[in-house]
Amino acid sequence: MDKISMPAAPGAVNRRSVLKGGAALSLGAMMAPGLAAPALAQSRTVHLGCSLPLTGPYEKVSRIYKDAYEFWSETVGHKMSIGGQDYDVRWTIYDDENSAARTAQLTERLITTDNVDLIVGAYGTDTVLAQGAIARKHGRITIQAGAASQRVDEEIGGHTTFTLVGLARNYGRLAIEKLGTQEPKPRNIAIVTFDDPVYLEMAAGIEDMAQSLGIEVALKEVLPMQTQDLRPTVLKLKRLGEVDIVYNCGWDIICIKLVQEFAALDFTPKAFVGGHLTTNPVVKETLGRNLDYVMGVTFWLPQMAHSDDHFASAQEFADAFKAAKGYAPTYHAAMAYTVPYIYAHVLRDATGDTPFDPAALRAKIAALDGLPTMWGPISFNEKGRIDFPGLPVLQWQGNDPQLTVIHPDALATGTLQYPMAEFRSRG
Amino acid sequence: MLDIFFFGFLRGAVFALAAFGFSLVLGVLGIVNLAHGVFIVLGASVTYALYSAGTPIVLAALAAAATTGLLGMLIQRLFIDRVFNMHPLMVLVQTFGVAIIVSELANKAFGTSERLLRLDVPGLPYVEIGSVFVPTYEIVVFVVSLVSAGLLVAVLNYTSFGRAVRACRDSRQSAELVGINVPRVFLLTMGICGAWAGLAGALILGLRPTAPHMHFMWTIEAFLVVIIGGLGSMGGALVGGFLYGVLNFAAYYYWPSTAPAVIFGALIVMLMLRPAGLFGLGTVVRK
Repeated sequence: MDKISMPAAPGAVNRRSVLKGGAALSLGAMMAPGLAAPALAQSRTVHLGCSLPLTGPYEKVSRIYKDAYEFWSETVGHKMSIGGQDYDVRWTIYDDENSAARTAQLTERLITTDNVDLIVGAYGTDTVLAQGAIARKHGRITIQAGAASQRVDEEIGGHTTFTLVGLARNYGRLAIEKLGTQEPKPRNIAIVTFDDPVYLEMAAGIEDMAQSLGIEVALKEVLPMQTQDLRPTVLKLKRLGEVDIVYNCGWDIICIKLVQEFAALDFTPKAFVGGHLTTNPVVKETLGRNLDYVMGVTFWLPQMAHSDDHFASAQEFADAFKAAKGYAPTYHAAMAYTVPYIYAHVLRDATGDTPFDPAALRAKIAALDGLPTMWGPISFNEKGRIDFPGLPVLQWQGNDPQLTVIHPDALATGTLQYPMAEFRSRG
Repeated sequence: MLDIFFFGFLRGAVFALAAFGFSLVLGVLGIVNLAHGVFIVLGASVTYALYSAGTPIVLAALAAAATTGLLGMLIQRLFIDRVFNMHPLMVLVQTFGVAIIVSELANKAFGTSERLLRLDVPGLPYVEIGSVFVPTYEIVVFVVSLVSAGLLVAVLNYTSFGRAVRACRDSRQSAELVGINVPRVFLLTMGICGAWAGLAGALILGLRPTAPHMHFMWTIEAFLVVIIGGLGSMGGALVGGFLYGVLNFAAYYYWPSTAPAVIFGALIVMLMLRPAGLFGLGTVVRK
């Protein structure tokens, strides 16, 4: 390659002038540190980290978490303002394969090798507990949005972990409350749940609520986690005779299989609550018209009146998220997006040389009092759990089923269709 | 009780279909193929991908079966064939390793989410048998299972390839002495195993959620079916599938929270009482 030399024009920058200028600038910086600080801050980085079950049964939902973390970064221009200085945002997210042991190992690595400044939550009770145990060992804190079990509160809540998701035992409270107002009032309920602490807690909450309303628990079916075939369960439901409510505590695929088996065995309860994941796109894609009348509960919907520093409404957030990621955000997206948002909020006015000091962070997060976020107003109780009144109730309605919020009244966009139309009559 | 038996019987058809290849390989090659479940979940994944891309379900299922059949031959040629004469444990380790590698690749290629298709027979989604409504699709799976079992039995009993297979099964050395190309027989046997398992995976998509990470569960279920029916027997695999289907369905109906323990407990008793299974052909595993 030819070397091209260009003569220096009068007044043009040459090596000598650069050196002179550099020396003068250095001297100036030493004499006026306040002026030099913004230039030095350009290279500062805030490093966030976590592990998620990016492969395995929770692949889809953990992708939403990862996308939401990324979406927050994109929203803030990959910058976080800490104590008036801009920090570049950097993420390290590992795949923990839904293994608690692996999560513990990866959290150790995040803290000791990657030197992350802030830890965001894993997904799933066991993995969140494992992450919290390691964080606690190192005196660090986490904000998590992936575990609803009460065990989180008991073992790591408040001192180590702050939790954005409501308690599992409250998930179905409003759905049962709504069904309890129907005329005639449902006489009985069958609960399908799984042998895992969070699903058992969910079932216990539903059972308590039903009994408090005088609705008899006709069946509480606890299935192993690896159950694939729901026909024995639905056959048992059918043999019970008339069942007014069936409540699925399981995940989206279980909701799909239950509805398919209802249709296959010509069994139609008066109401079916498909759980907290009926808004996942796969449910509508697979069930189509059979989703009509299926109820669900959800933490979050775009029509809710939430706002934060970046979005004036939840709908605006939903539209921006869809434009960025190519799909409509589920409640997981709003919840995960809020985790780094909270960190950014409490660090904004940080002072001193150690803005990530866990004790100071813990105190600031615990002191939040109704911080407006995309996830709703944020306050934590003494166990580090968000105060959450209950999950709004929705129902899919129509031949091309559309989502309708039916309870509480403040959020309702329609009324409950009850009882359910027979599956066999739907063609 | 009748409907538990009936639905268990229907479910058993797909267990039998999933186990035919496992039984054949165990009978002919004398190996426990721990990669068997991979054929099933890969068959399901390929079918799902093709069907989602607009391929008719029958073509998608056949393409999936062809893919897993080829994979079976590839595994035989590249791996099993090379360690076949060594200690049987080597084959176990090798097929286990292959299972892990292929399932990880499938995870990357197809994703790890559970997949399920709504597969109805157009115009006739249900049939009424007595007082029981049955999805027509499940009748189709049942018939496919019976026909494929019959086909395998016919191939094994009435074709020159079948005679070669039986000769290899009975005595590999004698088969070589009479001029049978034993490596080729083994290669085709693994191909058939893969194809049948892939077809089973395709059909399972309409019945149960399936994902690549479930491969080992399917290997175990195929193993259980063969243990019930008897090692190395196609008829045994069919009957074993039906019995396992009924046992599985009844366990999840009567004792759902402890169903896996009930199923394995029953099989341990079965092994104690009849170690060769119902229709076993004697000891077939290489020593």
